[in-house]
Amino acid sequence: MKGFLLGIAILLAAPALVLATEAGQRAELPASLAIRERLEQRIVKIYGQGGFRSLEGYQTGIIVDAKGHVATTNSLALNAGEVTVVFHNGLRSSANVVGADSLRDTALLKLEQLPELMHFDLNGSQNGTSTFGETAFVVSNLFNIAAGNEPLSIQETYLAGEVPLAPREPWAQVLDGQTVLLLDSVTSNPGAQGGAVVDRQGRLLGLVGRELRSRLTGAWQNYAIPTASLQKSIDRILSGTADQQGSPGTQASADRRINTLQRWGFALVPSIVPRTPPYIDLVRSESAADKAGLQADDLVLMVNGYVTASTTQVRRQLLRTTDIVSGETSNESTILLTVQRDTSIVELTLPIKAAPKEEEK
Amino acid sequence: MKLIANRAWELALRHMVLAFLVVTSIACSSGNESLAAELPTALLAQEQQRIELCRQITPATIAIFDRPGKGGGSGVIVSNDGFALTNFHVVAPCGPYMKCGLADGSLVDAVLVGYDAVGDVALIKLIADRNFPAATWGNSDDAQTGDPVLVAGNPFMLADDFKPTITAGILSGVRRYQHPAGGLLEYTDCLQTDASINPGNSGGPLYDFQGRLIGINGRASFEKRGRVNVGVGYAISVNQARRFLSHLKSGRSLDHGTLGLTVRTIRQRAVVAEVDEGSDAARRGIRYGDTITRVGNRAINSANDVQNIVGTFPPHWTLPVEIDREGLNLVLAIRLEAVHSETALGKAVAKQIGGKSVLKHAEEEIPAELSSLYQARDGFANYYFNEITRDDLLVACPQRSATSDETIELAGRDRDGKPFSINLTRDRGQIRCATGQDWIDAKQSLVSQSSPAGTGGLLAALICWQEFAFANDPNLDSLIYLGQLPYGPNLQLGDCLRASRDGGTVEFYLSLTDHSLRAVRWQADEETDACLLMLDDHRTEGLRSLPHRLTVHHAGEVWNELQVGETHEAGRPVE
Repeated sequence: MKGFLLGIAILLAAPALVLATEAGQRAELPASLAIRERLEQRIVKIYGQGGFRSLEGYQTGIIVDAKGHVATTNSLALNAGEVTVVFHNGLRSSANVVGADSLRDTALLKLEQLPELMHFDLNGSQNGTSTFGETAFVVSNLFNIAAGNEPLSIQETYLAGEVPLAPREPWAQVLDGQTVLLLDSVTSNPGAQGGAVVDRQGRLLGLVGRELRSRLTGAWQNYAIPTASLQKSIDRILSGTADQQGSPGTQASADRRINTLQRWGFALVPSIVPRTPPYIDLVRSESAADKAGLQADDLVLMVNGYVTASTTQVRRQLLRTTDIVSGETSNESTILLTVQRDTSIVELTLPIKAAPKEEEK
Repeated sequence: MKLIANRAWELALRHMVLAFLVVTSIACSSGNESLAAELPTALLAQEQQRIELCRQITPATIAIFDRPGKGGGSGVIVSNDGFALTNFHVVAPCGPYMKCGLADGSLVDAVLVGYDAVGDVALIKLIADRNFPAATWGNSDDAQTGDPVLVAGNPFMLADDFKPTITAGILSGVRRYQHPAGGLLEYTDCLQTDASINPGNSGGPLYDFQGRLIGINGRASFEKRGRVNVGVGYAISVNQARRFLSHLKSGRSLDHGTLGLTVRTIRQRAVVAEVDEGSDAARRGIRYGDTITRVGNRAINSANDVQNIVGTFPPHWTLPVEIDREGLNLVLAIRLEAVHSETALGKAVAKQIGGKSVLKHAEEEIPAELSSLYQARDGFANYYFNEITRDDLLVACPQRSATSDETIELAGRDRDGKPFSINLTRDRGQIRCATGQDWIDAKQSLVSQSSPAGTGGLLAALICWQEFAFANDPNLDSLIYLGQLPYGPNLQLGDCLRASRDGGTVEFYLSLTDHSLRAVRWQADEETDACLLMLDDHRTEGLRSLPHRLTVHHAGEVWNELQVGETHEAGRPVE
């Protein structure tokens, strides 16, 4: 209860502090034209797949190095593997999706053209530290309000906390156990994901997360991936190796989740709605799944005899199967998939241990 | 993005918000005491200033309700005589009459004055025998992203005592363009704020931190979470609202202006892709491939920029447009045409007004002092206000007098020192000048009589002037007040009265200060260049006031300048 009271007191005091320093004039950094322009040059608009209601085909990203890597929040908009990136000056470039880190729900893009770029230095000393109760600003292309060279939107918010999202049902789909920055206003709006959270001096604090809603309470979570965590995520995507930091338990389970399907060389359709039917989206040729006879558009009915009604359930069953098997010295070495193909039911046998090399592209 | 008028008492939400307010206020009181002791005095002074600011912006904010009290929004009083700005979508369901709650708790009647359905602005007038507290105008062109702002209004119809709710935030973006949503509506050059704007805030004021009005809140982006604020609200810039204000006072249903051309963004340049035939832009010579670099006082880098700035002006407004044609720099004064046809606008507006509610109110007992302030007429929100403004101007104009002498005789020399004479009667207009002699029959259609050649109908303009100024029984039936518009080579603002005659259009421009008649603009049809007759150096002779310098503009050039002098000494009229 004491914590609650303190929280409110800080929130009340914070705007007053802004006033005291600025005498009712412009709020600091993003308002300061020079800093704002510098920020704008490091943030891009991203256009990809989507465009349906609640499935926006646009979002935001930040340039993270001179090689033209852009970090953003993972989403369906990136599904095609190629997106269009629009710079602050309206110039555009194609970008390829280098990879995604489903542990932190981030993705990394690589620009095809390399104009004169300014970038955030994630490891550098210019990154801000998160002081809770302090003002922060979110720079993003929320609702795709800004087109071409039009400036991004800036919103004022407060840092409410840096907390691990508990690995329980409401948030379990993404960010299982990850530590995130909680923000005290609605910052995760359509298109805002992948935007920058900065402090008053324009120093990067984190990357705006997706629109995340608790299925239990209906509450929306507004969060950002902290800069340090984002750097780890980028390293991980670039190296293709597992991140050794963090608690081993969480890490291990998350790693498995990322690789579960790639291990066999097939992908399920993206989990768009709570019960997305588990259709096979693609099967890589020469992969274990391909050799087993799995085909795109197959609907997975059962995994080892367990009925699977959604993509989530298929993932869970596959995880469970591999967990059990890897924990035992069982002579089981295969998984039985029952799929519906057009009007017929087909049974397929997947090897449990497929060559890990197939994970890489 | 959606409109945010409140259409019903949102009881559940209201209670939730109230409950939250109670919780917070309890919590703060225990947290604040210890905190206050530690705070530096400068900080406390700032806090006091902020409280003062809220106090300052409160009185001009009003709550607007339809007469049954079922729905409503917000508004802001902009003059002491009770004119208040709000959104079109707030007043659309109200019919001609509404009730307004003031911050002091009083409830007064109000009547619709004018609306701009395209820009989502409406003007109403509070009817009470008192002085109203008015907001101070700000300048929205000066607003910058990051500026702290305050929003006042009536979200969720929360306040039973009409005391406005005040929320704070920053400007998240300026000069935003929001595509048309649902037909007419288009927000151009608007302000975006993260200050909380919710259903019911519609039509209310957005203030800067000096307490000056910079916007009229009207829309917000909502998604997934229902109609509650997610930190993305939009306000119509106050500069646009002010530009339209006199037009709103004309009681008309307003449209917006367009250049009559299509622009595409090609490599950071706004390149003309198409020019409408018959548009002023086409007549002034803008053509395919030209790059528009500046419109008004605004630099242009994209097609959106063009629409963004042009959309904040009413039709008939003349804007300087700078173009780049393969390195050649040209500045052209382009007169904007209306975006919609009158019938299309009328139909679209009628759909939004909802004939039902108007009818319902018509049946309701409206006090006579209120109903006498409303007059229905096609193309008008409330014709009553056009009539009174027009009649006031006609009375105030010193160049108008009903005399027994309706004829006008003017003579002098033109800019080359050549003599000229003009003779106008009710039946006939005649001019003799260096280029020869012309006359027209005032009883015939003026549209087909465009002499002298190269003037666009100078004699027609003169006849219209003569009738406006001196006719004993001028046919003013079609004469309406348009609003303030720029005219002449310097594009100064004047009050514009407009009439149609024989299918042509004549406009009279009156000085804003002394209401003297400064210009007459005759246009035979929309697709030909007008004749602009500037009237200067008025001198009173007996009961009449006559101009002594007449400058004739046509097709972007001066045709001639006529200086009235001692006619007889100036030489005989040329034959």
